Amino acid sequence: MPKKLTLQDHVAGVLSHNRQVTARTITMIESALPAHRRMAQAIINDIIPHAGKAIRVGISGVPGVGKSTFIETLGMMLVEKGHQVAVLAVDPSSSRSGGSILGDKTRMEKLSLHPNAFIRPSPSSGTLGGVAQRTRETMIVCEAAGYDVVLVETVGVGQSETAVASMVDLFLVLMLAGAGDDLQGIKKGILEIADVIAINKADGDNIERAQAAKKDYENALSLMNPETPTWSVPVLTCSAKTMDGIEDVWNRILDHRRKFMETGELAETRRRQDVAWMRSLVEQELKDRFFNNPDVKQRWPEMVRAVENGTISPTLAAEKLLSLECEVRPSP
Amino acid sequence: MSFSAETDQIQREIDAFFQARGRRPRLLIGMPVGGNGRRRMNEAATRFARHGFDVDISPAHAAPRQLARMAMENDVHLVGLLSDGDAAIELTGALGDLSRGDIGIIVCARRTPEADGNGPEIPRIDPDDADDVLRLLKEVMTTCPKN
Repeated sequence: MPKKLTLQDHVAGVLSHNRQVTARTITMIESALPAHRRMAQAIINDIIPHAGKAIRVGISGVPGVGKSTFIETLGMMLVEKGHQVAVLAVDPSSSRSGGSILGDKTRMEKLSLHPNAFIRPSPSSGTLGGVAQRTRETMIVCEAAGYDVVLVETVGVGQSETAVASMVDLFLVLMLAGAGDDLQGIKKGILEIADVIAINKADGDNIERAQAAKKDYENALSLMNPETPTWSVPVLTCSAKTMDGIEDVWNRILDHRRKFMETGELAETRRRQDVAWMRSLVEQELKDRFFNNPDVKQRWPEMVRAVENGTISPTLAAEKLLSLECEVRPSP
Repeated sequence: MSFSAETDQIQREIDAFFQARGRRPRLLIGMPVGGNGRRRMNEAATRFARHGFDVDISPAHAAPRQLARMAMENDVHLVGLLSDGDAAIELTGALGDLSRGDIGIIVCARRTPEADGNGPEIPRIDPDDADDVLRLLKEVMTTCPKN
């Protein structure tokens, strides 16, 4: 049985690129136990000066777009160039019981075994901190452990994309040449957060359709105001299967990084993200304090029944519960 | 015990595990070289996820040392193999090499009369058998370190 790790063990292990300790440090971050949370915060405080040097890329796309194969291909290309690549996956929990199928590494056969790669899917359910907060902390750990490219994978549904966009330097959206030729299926929200769009599976019979889709997306983007004069969102085609265009996708990512560094926008984005991070930590802590307050816990079921029975209004019930937390301050 | 009563009991055990350890029991489903059937792998994964486990799936035909690395990287409590025999023995060694001999190994399969009493002492767990799953949870709870 591995021995219990102290704060120093965690910090030294991560900084010396120890895979086992890095993995167990991420477990601390994922844990819902308050003692683990405190340990995780202490670790983050100690290692954060060693983080921040990686290229942080969010990758999204609907199921079936070929995300895993894309990451396998891009990741292998990067490790062969000498990069250290960490892949973090944010998966929504899939079942009623709260359990879930996390990483399906069946399509990351080579990358999952490469000495310069680290792949860690995280469950998104049942923890105190939000998924964004934990992924952000995991990213810090990976950077401190020497990974210089962090790919954060997320599925193309719901809020997880916005959450991931709030912690990366660049958001890559994978698309498929549509079954229909119109753009009705394209979510406007996706175009708003995308920094690079790549139409995957542009191979074989699909090349022409991919080219047509590329034009459609370019037209759609031309109707939107660019967020910054530094960058207009490129629409590329690629095939994770044949490797065509993958290099080009990476070059655009580097191009984006170079330009945003020159203008200072990269540093500014990260400062803004740090402030948002602080804010979400405070919000989370307030929420936790409220729901862990013994008086709130005690009165909660009664208030639920009262609201259900209509004997108290939801607003008054909320007011009463909130006043409990204000009166009784828990020890910090 | 009725089916739903058993399911409820599994749910309670998992909840207790979560309360005590801060996360759900995490299991890596692996199909060693020579094993057959990606479908069986997905089926086993789905069953365990429904019970409330967090489940990782390995690439097909992973060598034992590859499974060991993945188990360490994802910091799982258990590796569930789809076949027993040499793979389980090699995996035991490979996990030991990574100083993670604490990670348990099970074989996810129906128990058959001829399977009992043969080969190494790797527990066979049928994910459809609630008693099996409960036994497994109890085992993980006692062996899993608190940190």
